[in-house]
Amino acid sequence: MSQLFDWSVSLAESAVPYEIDLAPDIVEAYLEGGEAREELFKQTDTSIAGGFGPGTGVALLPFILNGIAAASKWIFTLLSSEKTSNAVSVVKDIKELLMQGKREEAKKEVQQLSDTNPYDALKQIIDTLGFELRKSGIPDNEADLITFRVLVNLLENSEGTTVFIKHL
Amino acid sequence: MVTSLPYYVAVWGCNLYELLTGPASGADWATTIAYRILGLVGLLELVPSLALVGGLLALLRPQLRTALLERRYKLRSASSITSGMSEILEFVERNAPGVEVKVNQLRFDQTPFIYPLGFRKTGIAIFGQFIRLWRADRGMAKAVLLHELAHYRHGDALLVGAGSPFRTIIERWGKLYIWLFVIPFILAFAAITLIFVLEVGQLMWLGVGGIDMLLQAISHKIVQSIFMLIWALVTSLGILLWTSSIFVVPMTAIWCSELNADQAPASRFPDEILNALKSLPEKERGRQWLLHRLAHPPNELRQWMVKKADKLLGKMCLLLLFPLSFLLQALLLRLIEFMASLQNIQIVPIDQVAGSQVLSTVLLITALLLIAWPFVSSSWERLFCCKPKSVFLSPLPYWLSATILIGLGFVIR
Repeated sequence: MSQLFDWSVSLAESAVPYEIDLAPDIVEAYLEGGEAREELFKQTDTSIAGGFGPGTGVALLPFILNGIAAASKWIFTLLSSEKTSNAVSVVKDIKELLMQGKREEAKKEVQQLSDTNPYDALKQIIDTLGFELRKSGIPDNEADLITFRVLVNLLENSEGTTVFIKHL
Repeated sequence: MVTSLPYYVAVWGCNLYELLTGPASGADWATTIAYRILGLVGLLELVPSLALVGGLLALLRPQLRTALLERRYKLRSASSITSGMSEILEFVERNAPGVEVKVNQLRFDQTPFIYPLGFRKTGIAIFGQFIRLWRADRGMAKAVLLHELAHYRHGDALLVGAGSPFRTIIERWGKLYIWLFVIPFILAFAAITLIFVLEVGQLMWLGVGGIDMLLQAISHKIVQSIFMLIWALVTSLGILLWTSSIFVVPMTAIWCSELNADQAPASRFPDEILNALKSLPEKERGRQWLLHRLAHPPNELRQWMVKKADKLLGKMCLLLLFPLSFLLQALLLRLIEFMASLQNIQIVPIDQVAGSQVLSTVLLITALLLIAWPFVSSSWERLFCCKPKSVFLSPLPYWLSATILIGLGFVIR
């Protein structure tokens, strides 16, 4: 489990740094499934327990994990490909564009990716992760940037990623 | 509250008597059943008083609330595995030594709250959302924590707050209203209509009356329905006024406890506490609005009080709000008395609660308390805290507020 602990901290650090303290527990609860997983997404609107009313915040990490789970077969395809290192540099380039606010250019780069594997798998992962992240209600540009931050981390920590997916 | 106890006991007695003995019999079996069903409304009138009694009884066994809250929110003792968590623990220990931190890192829909762990033991519940905030906006997070820790120093956790029977019953009042008034009303209406249709049908079958009688009967039914709806509206208004009259004083007390707790971060993190208040959902609707309003003052008022925290006006408004709620309660009860007199309904005399003598006494006692408060506040804190912070309170706002209350007390008398 220590490999998963390190993987979750590293994932949160690179994609959602405000959630770094919570990452190991969130990953553990997510893998436990059932009620523990449901609680991560719970939103009540009438609780008046605290002095600052019902909370309105959401954690993004559970949505990221949902995305990884939904895209797991393509992640495996990508990680087992001989061209993974090429994919990593492509993903890093697109991430840089997004960090500079060049969203349209980044979109074009994604569209121009080849339809053969591992790039087809990469496109599927980008779509799936982005789709799950948008469910949290964050703006599109933020969702895109987090998607690529997650991707870089998944590819660079392939061992931890594989362990996580196998535990699903 | 103590002075009004005989009044509430008399009201409970009256309501229970009516409920158990049953109202007057109707003209037929359906109306009698309808009256009996509608008698349930008496239970609804008991609910606000039960909320108060429940709140007082919970004082005797705070551990029940502890168990309830820790199970409901899956709270467990905090460990300092992560650096964020250990910083939070350190902050709490520095500002409120003795407060136990309990955590559920996996919930993001709750903000921190304090709750009793015993008579002089208090816990603070921290959730994942707050740990995230601690990293994202440290100042705002500290302001939120200082607000909650101020509740601990003021001894609010025992009386009000999460899991208190008072708040629990308030939260369910809407459902009780539906079960004890709306549904009985519909059932009673349906029962009366059913017997009416059966009777008219029987007469038509026997050939009595003909079409003229049918039309007459229908118009009679329409008039009867209109009167019944008017009765329902007047009764609803009466229940609303009655409930408001009971809740207005404790609700103002809760509002004051929140406004008072806001004062702690207002002096150290004024901008951050304002940002925290501004980030609250702006447009609450329906049940959410009602629940939030019962437990928290309007956001605009909180922000205004925070901005005026170090001003004489702000301090005096905070001090006068609670005693003035007794005047509002008296006004509501006078309104109920007026409505009852219009309908020739006899109610328990309200002078024990809303009489000028009683009100004047309440205001004068509060004034005396305000005069003494700057000198006894640290002793009050010592009742709830292991290590109270001795803060010097300027007597000016207390004494000026007391002067206003004394003046008002004599005017009323």
